[in-house]
Amino acid sequence: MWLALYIPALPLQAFSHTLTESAPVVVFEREARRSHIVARNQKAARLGVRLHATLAEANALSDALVALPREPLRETALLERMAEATSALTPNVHIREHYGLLLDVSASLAMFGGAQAVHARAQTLSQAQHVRCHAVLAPTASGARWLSRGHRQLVVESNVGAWLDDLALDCTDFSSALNDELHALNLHNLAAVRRLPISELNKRFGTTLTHQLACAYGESSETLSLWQPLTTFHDKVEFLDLAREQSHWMSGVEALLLQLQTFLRSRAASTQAIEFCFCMGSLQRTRFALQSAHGTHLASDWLRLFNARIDRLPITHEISSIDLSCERIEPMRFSDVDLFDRSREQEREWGTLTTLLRLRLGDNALHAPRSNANALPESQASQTSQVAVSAPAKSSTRHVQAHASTVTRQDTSHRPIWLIHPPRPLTERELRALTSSIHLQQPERIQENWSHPEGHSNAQRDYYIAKTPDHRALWIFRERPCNDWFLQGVFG
Amino acid sequence: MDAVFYQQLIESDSLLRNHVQRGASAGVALGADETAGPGIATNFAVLDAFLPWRGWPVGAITEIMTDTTGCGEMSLLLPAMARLTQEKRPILMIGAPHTLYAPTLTQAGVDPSRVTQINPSSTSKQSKENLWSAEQALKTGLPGMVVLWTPASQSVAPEVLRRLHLSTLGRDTMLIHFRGKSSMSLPSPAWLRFGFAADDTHIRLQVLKCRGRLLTRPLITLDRAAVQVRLYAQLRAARSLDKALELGLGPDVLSPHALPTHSGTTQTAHNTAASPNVAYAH
Repeated sequence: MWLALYIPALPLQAFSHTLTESAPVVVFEREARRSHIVARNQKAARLGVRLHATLAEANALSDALVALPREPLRETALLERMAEATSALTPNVHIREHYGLLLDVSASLAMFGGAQAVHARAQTLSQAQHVRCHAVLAPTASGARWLSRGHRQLVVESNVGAWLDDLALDCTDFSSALNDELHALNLHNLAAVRRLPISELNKRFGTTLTHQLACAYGESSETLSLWQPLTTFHDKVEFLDLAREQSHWMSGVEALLLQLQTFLRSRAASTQAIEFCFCMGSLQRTRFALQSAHGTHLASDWLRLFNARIDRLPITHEISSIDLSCERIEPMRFSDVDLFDRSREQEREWGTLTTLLRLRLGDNALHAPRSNANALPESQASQTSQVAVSAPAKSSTRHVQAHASTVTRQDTSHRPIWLIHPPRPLTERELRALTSSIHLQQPERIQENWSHPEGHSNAQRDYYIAKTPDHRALWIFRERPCNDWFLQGVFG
Repeated sequence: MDAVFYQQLIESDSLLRNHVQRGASAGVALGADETAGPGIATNFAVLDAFLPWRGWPVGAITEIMTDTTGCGEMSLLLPAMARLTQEKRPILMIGAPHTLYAPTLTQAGVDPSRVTQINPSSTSKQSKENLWSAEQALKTGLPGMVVLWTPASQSVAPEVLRRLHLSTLGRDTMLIHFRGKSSMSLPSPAWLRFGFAADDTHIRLQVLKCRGRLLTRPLITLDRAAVQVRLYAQLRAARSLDKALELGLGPDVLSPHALPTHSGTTQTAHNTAASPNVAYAH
């Protein structure tokens, strides 16, 4: 059994529905020096625009008419999207250019509850994609395809020949020249053609005609190439007018994310990264990448991350279209459920929270405490630094009374909980204030013996704990040999 | 009358159900610690004994009001932070005045890998972001503790505090909110509020509000050196236990004298540590 989904206004529906539903729109195709209408929406039809009329005739009917050139690439993209959606019914999907889809649903009938149920579900799927199409279920692929051009909805479970006999020749795949010849012979439907002897038909029109008839009536088999599912996602929404406010274009974002959700769900896949591209024609583009801590396929999750990010980095220009792309998908992984240990689940949720905070506050907003116990505190090269801890030489500054004590173990040294990064030089005024009130204790020398990326080569510092008049404890040091004083930390 | 009122509240809103039940219990049995709810021990005996939750209240806001940093205010939190990170609970520090230094956290027994800090901020916009971040984190109930700093110069609107309060209610998390002293006279839904002051030798906690306690406004005094000793006692004990186990000795043979000393300063502080005391004053 074959399900044919025929999209009559494919050139029009290839454009996003928000665009085609907002104004009278026609799609024209240029042929030689003449542009003629190949599709129009209902608003344009109400204005009197006819199919196959010239573009000039259509423009003469209304100033508000929007004329769009036919874009075959868009049509292919729409068919791909439809194939994505209908692949929920069967993996055997055939895309037929300029027509629609053919689905081999023989193996799916029992699972979905029969031909009528499959037919109804296919219509629901196409409506969800905002695509108006004819749906016909028939025993043969060609038969279903031809019948779909003549019927909006039809389910033929047996005896397809009876339905085909009454079909007009315009609904078939015959070439226009062949149709004209058959009409000239007063043959207007398939039954009339089939009444002629096959040998005579072969002799006059070649074997193509009889082969196509045999395939449609189920007397011969035909081979169709099946569609291969895509592994990347690309979709786009367009606006007729430039959208200025976020409330205007947000529905487009939501629609794209729902498409992405459908795409991922049909593959039992998830993704960790997506990218939006907000375009103002070809003048300005703003790329907007989102990353999740773990793979997700839900539109609501991505929308939450999007809202967090857009609050920090709003789009400042007007928008004519929005692209969404997802280059990498991965199989959906089910989280391990442990009734007695929720640590994994909590780690996953924590990852989600930190991702949300990063998107809202910036990539560098979240950080771990500085972890470098064995070198100069602001140094990053903790693994390779060598530290020498020893008693400092007697202070050469007359204002400071240092009480030397030998510190033998690094991990037992008293360290501040707050680090000033980078160390702040103490001004003359601060130093002058310190001389009268500061009390220094526990001097400790920290010396780094090799050059590291931040340029503190051979740094030698004498660290002190200083109490200020307002009872704060500070970690200050004197840089050798220049004797400059710095504030390095605050005890908490 | 009260019973009818509480029953109506419980039936009106599912979100308030747990809260009202707790409030009703606390109202009926004022000062009864068993009904106060869970808490995380502060590791300061006098403080734990005073607080109805036997520590920092879980599922509630605690406000600490001080205008300065570096006076020992973080020392109060480190034991609870250590306990939470040992339970593999994350901790979020939002709007802290400076960057946390991991070796100090390690010394206090806090696992730095469980601590996440959000950049220091002072501007009004960033301050709003801090409040938003705190709310998001509290709503998940994931962090064991969220510590939020609001600059002394900035005030927090009552409705914002109310939102934070609702975000903590009934969840296994707590919010420690550092605010300026000017906020002491302002109302707040926090369950525990106290002013913080310190000098070279003492830390003084002026309790302004403690849910479940009579409003006696007690002044709790902690010895600052003792606080430092207490901070490192747990780590020293753990290390000596590890060392003893390496040598094949059982924990029972360990004595306080066997604990390793760290530095001259710490040793002196240990010897001179006075017991914390509490004084009640109006």
